[in-house]
Amino acid sequence: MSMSGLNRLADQLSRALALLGTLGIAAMLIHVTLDVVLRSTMSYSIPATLEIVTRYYMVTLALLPLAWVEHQRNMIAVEAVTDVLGERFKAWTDVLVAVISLLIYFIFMVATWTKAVEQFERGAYVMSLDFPMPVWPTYFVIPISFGLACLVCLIRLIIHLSPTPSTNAPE
Amino acid sequence: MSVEIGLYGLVALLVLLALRVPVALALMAVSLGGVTWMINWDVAIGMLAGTPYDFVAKWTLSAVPMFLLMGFVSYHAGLTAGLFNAAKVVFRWLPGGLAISSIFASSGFAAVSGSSLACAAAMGRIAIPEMVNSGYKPSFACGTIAAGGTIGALIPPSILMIVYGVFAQVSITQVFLGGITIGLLTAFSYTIVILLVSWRRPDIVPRKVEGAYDYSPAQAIREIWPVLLLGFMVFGGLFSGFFTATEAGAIGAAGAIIISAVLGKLSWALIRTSLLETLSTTASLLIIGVGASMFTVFLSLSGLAGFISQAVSGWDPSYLQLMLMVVLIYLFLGLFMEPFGAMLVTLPILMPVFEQYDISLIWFGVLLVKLLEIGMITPPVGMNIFVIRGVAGQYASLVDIFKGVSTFLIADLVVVALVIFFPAIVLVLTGS
Repeated sequence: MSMSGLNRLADQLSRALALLGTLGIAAMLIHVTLDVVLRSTMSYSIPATLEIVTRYYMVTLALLPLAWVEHQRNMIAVEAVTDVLGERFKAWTDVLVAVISLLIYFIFMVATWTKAVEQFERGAYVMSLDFPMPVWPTYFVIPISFGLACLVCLIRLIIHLSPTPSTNAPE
Repeated sequence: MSVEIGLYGLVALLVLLALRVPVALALMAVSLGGVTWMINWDVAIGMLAGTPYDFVAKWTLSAVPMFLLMGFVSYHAGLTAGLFNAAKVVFRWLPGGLAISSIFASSGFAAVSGSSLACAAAMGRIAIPEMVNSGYKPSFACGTIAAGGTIGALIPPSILMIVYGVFAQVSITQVFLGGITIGLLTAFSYTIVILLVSWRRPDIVPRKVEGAYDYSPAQAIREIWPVLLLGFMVFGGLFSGFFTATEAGAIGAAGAIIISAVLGKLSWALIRTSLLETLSTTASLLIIGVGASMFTVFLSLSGLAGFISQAVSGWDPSYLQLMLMVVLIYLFLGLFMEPFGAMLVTLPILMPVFEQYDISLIWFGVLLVKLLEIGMITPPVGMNIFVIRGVAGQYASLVDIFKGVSTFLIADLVVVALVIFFPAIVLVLTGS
């Protein structure tokens, strides 16, 4: 696959996950608003709102877009020091940052995957009133997020290290 | 030995940050490396792998995306566009009335948005051209809006305060109440700066501008009713205890969407942009929180946090010495770090010290956000300055904007001193 093809793949995958994240925000907005409205008009609370908001919506919207944020270069970093040291140094640190990020994402992908499998095998759930609500599915969100962020960094690294033509690949 | 590893960890963190490793990943890398060094790899992985899930799956944190969404929708739908005109109706009789109006318009904007960048961008587009055309010195006009923007993170809702509340385990509503006081105090201090400059240097701030105020109070109310209504719903519910912060945020976001629809300003593009901006901001902030949680584990295992708080108590500084140190630390970090990174990297270290000194963590949260916001307008990395440069670059260079904002920095230091000498100022609304 060509460099631009790789980049496009990372772009599309990370966008797809981000889209799921926006659905998480929209669902949370509707759910919480509805809960407040029902509670104040009919004294009825939607069951398990707290569990669904924290364990489903929050995990999805906060972690699933990680690769997209990484791909868009929106991760928060301290730019001041390298700005002073010039372009050559910056190009060198770009590679280093990509390597470190890739490693960290990879390690946490593996670690959180193991955790997710554990939760799955236990069939982890929380009791909400009398209803056992499964909570294991969103544990898988985390290794997926870290995994794709790792892929984004890998592609960035390949593009950085390959000879000149690839630097023209669309961002 | 463990304390030493803690110190090495701290140094490694600074090196990684300086190399531009994202703050979140630098915190994660140091925590993983540090715990491995102290115990072993398996324990490190076992202790840290659960953190991402445990940190984000919190009810209090869920207020962050909801308030962000409310701010982005209000901003993109132009619900806040009338604030400047409305403020002019109130402050037209004062010398420097346009600049003062922009400060209070920023305060109004702050009530629907938790971000000082959005506040500076929105006000910058509207107010800077008008001030410059009315004879204000461009650097001062830009500086006013950059400084005014910091009020965005002081007056609730404030994303910084929510994240602080989660980490310090204090009531977000209480920190918000303190934020109202310090936000208004800041607005008044900036007003005094403008009045003084107008009095001493009418060439920088004209005393009276003709023709800029053809607005009636009725027109003003017609333009700002959306903000008034949103503020009433969100804060009425929150401060009366009827809503939690998350519910207030959701009602605010839903309210902003409904009002935009009523005004015919709602579009698919607006919803899409607001959702994506909310998503990007939430994800990039909360992943730092994940890193900071891991860092807290590492620091407490190494005993460094305890060591530092013991060292501080061994040195036994007075309250004022301790506070001076804190102010200097944050002003220094503010020079080159953005607020969330600076806050989350330092809280695990400083929190035990404050607990030992019996300092109100609500009060400290308010002071901390004020200090971090000063960092938004100090060189070389003053994010608000960059935003103003982006929206009004034709009027002033970066250096000019930094010059324009410097007068307001003096006011900021006075406010910080007032809060330290008279802590009751911040706590007056919180009832504690």
